[in-house]
Amino acid sequence: MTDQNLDRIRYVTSHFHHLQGLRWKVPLGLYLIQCPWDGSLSIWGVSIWDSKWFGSFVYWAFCLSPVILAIASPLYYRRRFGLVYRKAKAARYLRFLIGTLVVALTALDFFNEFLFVRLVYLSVGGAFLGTWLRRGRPRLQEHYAVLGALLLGASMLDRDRYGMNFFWIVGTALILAGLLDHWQLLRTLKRPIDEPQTIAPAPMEKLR
Amino acid sequence: MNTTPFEDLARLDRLTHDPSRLAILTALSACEQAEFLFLQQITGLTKGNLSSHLAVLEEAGLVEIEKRFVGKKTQTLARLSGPGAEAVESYWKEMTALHKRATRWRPSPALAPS
Repeated sequence: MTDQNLDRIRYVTSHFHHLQGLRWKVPLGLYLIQCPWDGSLSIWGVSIWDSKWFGSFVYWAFCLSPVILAIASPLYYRRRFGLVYRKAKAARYLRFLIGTLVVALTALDFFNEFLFVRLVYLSVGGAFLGTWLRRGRPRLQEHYAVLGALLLGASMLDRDRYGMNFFWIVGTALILAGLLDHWQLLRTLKRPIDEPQTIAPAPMEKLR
Repeated sequence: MNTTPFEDLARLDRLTHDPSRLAILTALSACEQAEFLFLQQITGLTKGNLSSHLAVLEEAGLVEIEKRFVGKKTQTLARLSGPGAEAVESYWKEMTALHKRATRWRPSPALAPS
């Protein structure tokens, strides 16, 4: 057992809940992407609404997928990887921080939409960069640094209020972060190996 | 009598120094409680090996095992006990000190090749 293996064990166990990307990062990203969608999406110049059935199928798939994913993913993670109870102190601190941020941003949304968009970029970008730094700048989590820098840059460059850019950039960043986290969990936690059969199978003569 | 860091390394407690048991203890030290399935996947041990290592650790009082029923299935949860947390902490302290000593260590002139 090398030091690297022990570090990996310690890292994955202590961040097990954060690495469950399909739990809230991907659903939230999907939700944000479908928010500004008014059905004007077109593929090679043909609006998907030209086909009534296909159009409504895509629309409902986009609307329902975040809800289905948010409900089904905890069950999937529990069955696939098992349960891990994190240390109570860390969980309380994180819940308090996210709760305060959501309440503050929701309140701000009513007063100043322009500032709201800037602050969402800054807080999600800052959270991504902060996550990467707080976890000790691991190489496996460098996508957080890249996505964080991208969102902080977008806070200065995107001059829209509720433009398509805002929803697409933040949504895509969340989906990418979630999928990469999930992929790392799958790569690290391999399915248990079945033990070889130790009991010899009964001879065919006895079974006959 | 002064001992070399390598002699001290050989005297380390086998209970925690064993690679599989060290992996289990490291995983449990990073959380409050973990299920058997998770421990199996993170350590890469087979069901039988993990069971026997957990039994050894439980017998030594380093780990507490809790079994409960969820529907018709048994769920096994393991957590580090108070002495277990102390053992992991002192093990790493000892290992860090040994590492420092080993990097500074030079063979005595009597043992050095002429």
